[in-house]
Amino acid sequence: ELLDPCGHIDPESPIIQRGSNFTAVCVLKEKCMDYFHVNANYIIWKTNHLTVPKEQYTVINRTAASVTFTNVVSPNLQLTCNILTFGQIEQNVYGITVLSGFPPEKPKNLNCIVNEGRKMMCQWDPGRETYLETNFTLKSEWATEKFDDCKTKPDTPNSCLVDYSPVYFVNIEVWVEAENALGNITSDHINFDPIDKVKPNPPRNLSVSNSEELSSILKLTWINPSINSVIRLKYNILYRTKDASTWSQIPPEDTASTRSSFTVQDLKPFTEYVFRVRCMKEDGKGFWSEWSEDASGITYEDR
Amino acid sequence: STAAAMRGCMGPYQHLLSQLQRQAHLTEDTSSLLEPYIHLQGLNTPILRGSCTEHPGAFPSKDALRGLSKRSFLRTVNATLDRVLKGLVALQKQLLNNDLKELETARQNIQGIRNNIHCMSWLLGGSSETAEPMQTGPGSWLQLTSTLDVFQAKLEGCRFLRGYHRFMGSVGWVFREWGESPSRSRRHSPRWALHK
Repeated sequence: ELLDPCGHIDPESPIIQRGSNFTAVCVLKEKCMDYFHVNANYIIWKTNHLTVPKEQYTVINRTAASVTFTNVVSPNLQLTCNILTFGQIEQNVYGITVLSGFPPEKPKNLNCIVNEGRKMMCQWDPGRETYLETNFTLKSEWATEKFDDCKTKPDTPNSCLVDYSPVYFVNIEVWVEAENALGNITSDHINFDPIDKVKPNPPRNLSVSNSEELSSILKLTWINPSINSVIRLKYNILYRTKDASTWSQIPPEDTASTRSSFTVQDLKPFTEYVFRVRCMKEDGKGFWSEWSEDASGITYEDR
Repeated sequence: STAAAMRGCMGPYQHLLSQLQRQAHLTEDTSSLLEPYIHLQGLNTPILRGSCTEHPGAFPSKDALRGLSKRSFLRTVNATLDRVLKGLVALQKQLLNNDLKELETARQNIQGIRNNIHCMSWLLGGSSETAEPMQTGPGSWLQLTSTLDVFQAKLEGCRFLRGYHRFMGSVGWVFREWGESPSRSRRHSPRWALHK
């Protein structure tokens, strides 16, 4: 029967805002007070096994005493209520954990990306560390349909991969809701067509061929990503001689429309060049693909 | 409520119309659903392809669609696509365990088109749900009843999809005829008259 706690602390498992004040009350059970011949005056508060100065105590009545802490900054406080029995034996009555932290801040810079062939991933700035378990939920909907919530994983609180495939040419509204024990808050909504958030796969099978007639040119050919059936593309092409360390770029205006080949001019004869190409949506909305694999070729000898 | 209808509907008109045109272009493409279905169902021979024709009257014709007001047109397309969705469910059952991922993509795209139609209807000051849409003809809709044998059911599914793609082509045609502003359609715009 004596395993029954001799009292309890109220509140049971508090979570408070860091820097705020906190008061707990320990209430003793009559049977314990009779058995140990004690009352609230005999209560000793401890935090992380250190006795709390008496000045912070207040005896409320025969069975209850409180303790007050100001400007709590410790993330995790082990608070125990104890009684001094038979003049010198300290008996633990009850214990709680006091957590402190911050309510979530408004998530900012929400943005989404659709990696070609994969599902949409959205990410945002979660704001300051809250020191508390904080849940972020990505919400998304059309005018006529709500999609399943995307709940972040603890180790990636600032991004979420939705579980439905992107549907192009339909505007979707997306926002983030953040919540912990101290409050909840919603990000600004963003509204966009997923087609404008595409990161295409890189061009592939890049190949280089020279020309017997013209020793200053090399012709590049590649295969466009399949998203090309839905969007028009533009390109960046980089090239350098084999031994150079810095790249040169073909003027973007020369590669500003969908194509699967390009002839590079004004090259040195009989010289090996390395090339790489990437693409993105022609109107500049969305993201650049990764670079293709490098490909190299040698210009023809001068006659 | 209007607010609910409005949320998520991001005009302007030209952007929405462009989206609808792109969607129609995507969905009229037979390689997006009919072709994979034909290959999956073993219908890929000249003779069988020849039998895979649209049921007359199963889907509204282009001329019929062109003759509708914008609002009636949106309602008709919305109602027809609702029935297409039901047809795709029947097709999925017919396919049993065969996986046709294009079916789910088509379903999503159709949902997307209906969403845009909802927004366009709201933009034009109506609703895509109310009032009777144009009824398709007496032609059979996708009847995958148990009376059909397996082969007939496959062919029926093929004819249904043939009609669906053709219908989406017609829808795209009409959307391209719509003018630059909500009030005028290209068929009634002065510039159109000049070309007559």
